[in-house]
Amino acid sequence: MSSEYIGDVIERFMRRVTREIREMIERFEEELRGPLCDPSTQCLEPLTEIFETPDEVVIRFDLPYVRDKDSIQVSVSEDTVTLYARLEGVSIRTGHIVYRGVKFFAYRKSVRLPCEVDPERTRARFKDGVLELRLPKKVKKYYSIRVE
Amino acid sequence: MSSEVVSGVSVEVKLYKDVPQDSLFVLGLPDVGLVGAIAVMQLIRNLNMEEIGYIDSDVFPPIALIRKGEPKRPVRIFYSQTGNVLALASEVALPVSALPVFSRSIVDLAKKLRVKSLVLLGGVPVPNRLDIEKPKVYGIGVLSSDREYLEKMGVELIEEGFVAGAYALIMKECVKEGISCLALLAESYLQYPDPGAAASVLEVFSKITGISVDIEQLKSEAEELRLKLRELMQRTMSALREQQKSYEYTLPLMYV
Repeated sequence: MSSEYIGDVIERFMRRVTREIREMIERFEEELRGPLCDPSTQCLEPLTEIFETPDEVVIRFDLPYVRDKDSIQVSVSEDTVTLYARLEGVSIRTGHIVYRGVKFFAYRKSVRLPCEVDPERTRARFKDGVLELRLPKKVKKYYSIRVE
Repeated sequence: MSSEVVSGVSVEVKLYKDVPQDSLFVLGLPDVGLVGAIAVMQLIRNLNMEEIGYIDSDVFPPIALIRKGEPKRPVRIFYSQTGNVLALASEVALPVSALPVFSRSIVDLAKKLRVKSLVLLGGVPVPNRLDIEKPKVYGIGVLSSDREYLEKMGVELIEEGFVAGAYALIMKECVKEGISCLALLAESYLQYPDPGAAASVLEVFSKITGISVDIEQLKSEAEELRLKLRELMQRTMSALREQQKSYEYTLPLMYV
């Protein structure tokens, strides 16, 4: 039991360090990144917010111009969420050369989760153009062992 | 007005025309949900305000804004005779290193122009924003007369908490100089542009100043703004992380 407990502590520590390094890299990449769109594939990347509660990982995608929930496809695994949301040819009114004359037909985004979740118990709601996913964290099971 | 040195850093504050005293000086900086930036954009557009100057500094990001083919400073000052209003709009998120100089320049300018009050427009992030139909607007008043006025106008004051970023520095400078300063902060998304929250802020702004601003236009363009402002929102989030914005969720220690 005791060595299992220490193993858990080390695993949690390693996971936290890995996550913090990954977040640092992501922040660095964010600074250097290009626009939140790809005119060649006519796809937009949605703004995304991720936070954790003690029991859940909550992800919100901002999806302006997505008309209804039937336009949204979400797939969830234990450590990744992938979003595809259909648009009806949206263009951005601007003289900016990246966006001028381009129509966008979808949002696409893949998100790595900060911890493992139980994908089957994911709940989703779509309101005012914001998609919210609540992903219950995977609960580790512990068994009492009788010492003989 | 021209170049000056604030805290050892060169700042250029340029006004192309004179401004009568007792004006309201309204600020809307890129911050939580871009609420202040969107609100001031709408104010400038709705009052058809004239561009009358800018603030620039070596510590600002090396960015020029191109508008209708013309390079411009990203931090600009506008004026409208209707209501005698000055407005400052920034189209960039200022890094934390630029905030002390920027804030000092704003308060110096307010002092020189003998403005009636500074009005800071912005957002306060709430985790349940998705469930809120009409965001509530809270107020902070620097002078006791500011607080009394806000209460008289039915604006609920923020009794406790922290404010982080440029508005925090501006308020502290206003306390020091005894300048009237009111902040109007609407419940908003943290990481998404929130035109709904900007509309709420403008509604209260109109109520307390008597300056009418059309918010229906803002509501009808909400989706377009949310789409258009995604990159600015993302840049702003990077700046907010540096500004220790998460302090705003923290409870203060002292009871006095």
